[in-house]
Amino acid sequence: MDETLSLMEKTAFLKGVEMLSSIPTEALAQLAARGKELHFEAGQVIFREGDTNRGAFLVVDGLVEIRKGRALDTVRGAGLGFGELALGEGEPHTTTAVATQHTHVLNVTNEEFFETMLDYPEVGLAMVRSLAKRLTELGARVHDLEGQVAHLNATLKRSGVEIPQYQSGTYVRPEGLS
Amino acid sequence: MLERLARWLKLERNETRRALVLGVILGAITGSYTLAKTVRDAFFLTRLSVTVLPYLYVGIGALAALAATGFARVTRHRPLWESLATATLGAAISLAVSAQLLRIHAAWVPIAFYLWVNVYGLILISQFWLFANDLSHAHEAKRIFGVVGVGAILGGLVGGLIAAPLARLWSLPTLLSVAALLQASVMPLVCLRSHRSAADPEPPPSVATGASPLSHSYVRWLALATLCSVMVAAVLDYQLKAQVQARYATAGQVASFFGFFYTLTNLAALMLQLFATRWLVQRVGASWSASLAPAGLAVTAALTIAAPGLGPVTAGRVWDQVTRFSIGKAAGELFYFPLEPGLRRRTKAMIQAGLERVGDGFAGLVILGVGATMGAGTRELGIVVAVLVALWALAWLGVRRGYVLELGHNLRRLHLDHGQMRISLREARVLEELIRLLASPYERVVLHGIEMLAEIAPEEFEDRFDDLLQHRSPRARARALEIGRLRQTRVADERLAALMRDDDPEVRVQALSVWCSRSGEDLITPLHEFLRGGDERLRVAAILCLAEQAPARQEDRVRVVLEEWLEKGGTAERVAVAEGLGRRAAPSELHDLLAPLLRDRNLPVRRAALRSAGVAERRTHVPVLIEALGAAETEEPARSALARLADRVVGTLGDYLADSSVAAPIRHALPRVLGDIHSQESVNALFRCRERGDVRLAYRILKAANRLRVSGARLEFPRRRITEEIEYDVRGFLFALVHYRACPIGRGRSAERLLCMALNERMEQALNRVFRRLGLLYPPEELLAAYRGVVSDHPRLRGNALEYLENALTLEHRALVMPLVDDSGDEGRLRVAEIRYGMRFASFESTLEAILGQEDPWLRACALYVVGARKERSLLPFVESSLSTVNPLVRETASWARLALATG
Repeated sequence: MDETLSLMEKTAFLKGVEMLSSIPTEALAQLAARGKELHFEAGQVIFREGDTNRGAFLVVDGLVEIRKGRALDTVRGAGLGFGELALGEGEPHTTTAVATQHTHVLNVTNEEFFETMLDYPEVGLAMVRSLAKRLTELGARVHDLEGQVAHLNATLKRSGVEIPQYQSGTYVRPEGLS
Repeated sequence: MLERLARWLKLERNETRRALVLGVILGAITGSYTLAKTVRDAFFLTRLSVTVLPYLYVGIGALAALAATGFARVTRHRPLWESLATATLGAAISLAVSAQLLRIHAAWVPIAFYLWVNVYGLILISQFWLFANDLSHAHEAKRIFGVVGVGAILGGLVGGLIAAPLARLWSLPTLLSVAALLQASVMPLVCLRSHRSAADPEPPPSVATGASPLSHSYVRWLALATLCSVMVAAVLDYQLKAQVQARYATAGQVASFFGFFYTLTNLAALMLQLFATRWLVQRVGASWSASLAPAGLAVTAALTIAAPGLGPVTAGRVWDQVTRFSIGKAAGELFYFPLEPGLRRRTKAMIQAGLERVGDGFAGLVILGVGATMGAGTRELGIVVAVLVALWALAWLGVRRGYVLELGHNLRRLHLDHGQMRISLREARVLEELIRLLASPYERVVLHGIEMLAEIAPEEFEDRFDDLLQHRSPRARARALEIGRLRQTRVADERLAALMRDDDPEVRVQALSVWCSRSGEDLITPLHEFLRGGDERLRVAAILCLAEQAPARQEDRVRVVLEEWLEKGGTAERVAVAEGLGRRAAPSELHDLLAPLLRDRNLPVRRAALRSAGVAERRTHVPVLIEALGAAETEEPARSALARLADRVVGTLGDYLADSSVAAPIRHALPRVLGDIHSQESVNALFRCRERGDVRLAYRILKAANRLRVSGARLEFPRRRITEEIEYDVRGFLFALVHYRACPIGRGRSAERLLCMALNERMEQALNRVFRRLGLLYPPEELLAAYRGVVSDHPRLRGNALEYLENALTLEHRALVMPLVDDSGDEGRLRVAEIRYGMRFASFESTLEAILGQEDPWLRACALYVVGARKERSLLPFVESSLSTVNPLVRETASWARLALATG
């Protein structure tokens, strides 16, 4: 697929991606130089769950659905990223990504990302900060959800409803229930 | 109104408010105290002889120390504002009571009143300054304490002005009642000010709050300087009062003289405070400003010795009072800031509430002693003053030295001193502590414990040897085996057999070494069965063991074995040979095998050989090692090998670094190697390279120099060269600032926004480099803390950092760096850029022109991107000249911009 963005345009785009926004622009230019532009038509699968990991994808333009099994996990639009950048070598994608309209993405593989990180340690530093922030946010969200679940469980229990147990992605129904 | 005043005083709005309130409080306290002092002196000198004064000084010393201790004890758990309010209320009540006591005609009344006025005055003023210190930080104090000092002087002035005429019209008790009322008016203000913001709390005191403040050398010097200053003041006071009593007879005349005296001194202090104090403290610093008082007193002491009389004595006393209430107070208070809060509070209590009055007592004893031996004449006491001033000057030198050091310590403390968390093995019960280390969940701690135990208590090591061989950490098992082999500690056969099949390769090697050590000096025979066996892991361990430990006389036979494995072995065996050669101490003929392996096609083999080349220490390997620095996959082993060659290779590395024709990846890797070689030659090699165009390389050189600086080695860094580089970075900072301010912010992914961000980053990077460079010339840890302070949003951290920099840096560096970080703001910095370098914003087009004309390739690329995006056709010549530049990014962006200009 043709490259339609100049290196500086790619850099300006990457600077606008939240996850990468704290990386210095000069280091982002190196990452931009290593990234590849890809175009997908509506309905085209970008990667499937179980496919070999191809790193991170950043939506320049368009819309992408992220599916986990048959369930819709999330939708990613312009300026947002998807894919598994942080996974180790050889680990497959854990979701399926499908373009819902003509979509233009920038793809950075793990190797390219780590090479940039070695050249510019500030990239790694910025990523650690970004991930730490994200982790804190997720931790707070989990905490809130746990509180809500506990509250719901207590309400159900008070109403005499037996609560199904959630184990590794499935609900285990209490005995006697069909 | 407040805004205008803030602008005039060059303070922030909240600083102005704080300064005004504190100034009013201190003004009221001082005004009241001046009235009380006037009454005290007039009452005393008309009732009793001046010769009683030295005894009173001694009494004041003893009483004040007791009262200060008692007051500190009573108020130690209370907030400072509450202590001050209590002291104020107590003083007002005591003055009102004293006004009634003065009507009693008894000999004890003037004595008791004299003692009490001194005691309460000292407690009150000391409490006020503690309260003021708690509300600000060192840098703010430097600016607002001048204004606060004006309040004190105005209070004294008003007190003096009221006292002189009213002393003739009213009685002394009435005057004292006015003082009591003025004192009482302070309380509401103190309570009001106590509701300050808690956004900038003082850090908590350190754990060691019980230690005496005098255990710190800085505090000792401070105490000595204060003691000398107080004793000088008391002797001068005595000299003046003796002269006044000899000249005036009535209470009205004496009160009038002192009213006039206090008016004159306060007026002079006000002039000094308004027109000189702030300028002096900010320009020459607290310590030099504080030297003015002893310097002037040395002159008046000389005059008194030469021509004793009221004139020189009054001059000395006026100078003492004028400098004490203006420069002395503002500068003196700053000396307490570097101390950590707990120590500061105790030091202030000790010095201001204790030593200052004990000083009076000492002065009384000295006057009595001199009177008994030489006669307490004006000339004799002039000599005493001269001696005390000399001692004061000596103490001042100690304070000056300690001030900068303490500021640096304070800065590091504010940035959390992790050093306090370390456990000192020497202080603990060594053996128990060492044994406890072996159970640590941290591998490094366990390894440290093993080393120490084997060294300090070998019998304990042997007792725990078998446990260590089963330790969960493979490094611990391997190290225990190695130490056991050297100490010939017995290992059970079954245990050794298990360790030879350990999952960790190093444990297997060490276990095999123990196995071989049982068979005498011949190594090849016992290892034969493993070398020829079917277990690859044991084969590799055997190769490593053989290469490392074979005796020199067996080298020919070992070489044959190793060559055989290199020829017919798989990757694992070939890597083992390359690695094994690195385990063999130089010089060894076996290292001849390394040369071909350094260029081996197989990467793991090549990497192992490169690492081993460092141990072989052969110069013939150097070109290959330097070449290997250029590839990401071989950089790390090549770097560690070159670092091991140390001084033997530094000159060559310096040549490569300075040579711009050497490939960029190799040059970029060289500073890190040099940073690992802790020698003066490394420093010289790094500074031989004068690269500025390659920002990354310049930064790596600087980082390597920083690593050398903190390595602990005694190294000299080129001061002149570093100062030049600092100036270059200051210029770069101001260049980026001027054009950043000129740059339209832009939206989203716009080119202007990218340029803006790049300029902003360049400012941050330039400032970072400035501090890194300063860290090469000044204490690096303090400079790091100062950098973190100046970029911090925390006002106390920032203020202390600025105060440290102003005192620690030389005049030249201060002039260069302070405009970048001080409180003058961007407008001030833009003025500096224009005055110093002629940089100023004209238009955005001229900004683009300026960026395209400088040497930073990344900024040029960003500017070219803006030129293309905005279709700035007038800049086409710059675009075309950039097409032939060396940097590929600039070239590529220029060609994109030309296309954009052509098609737009």
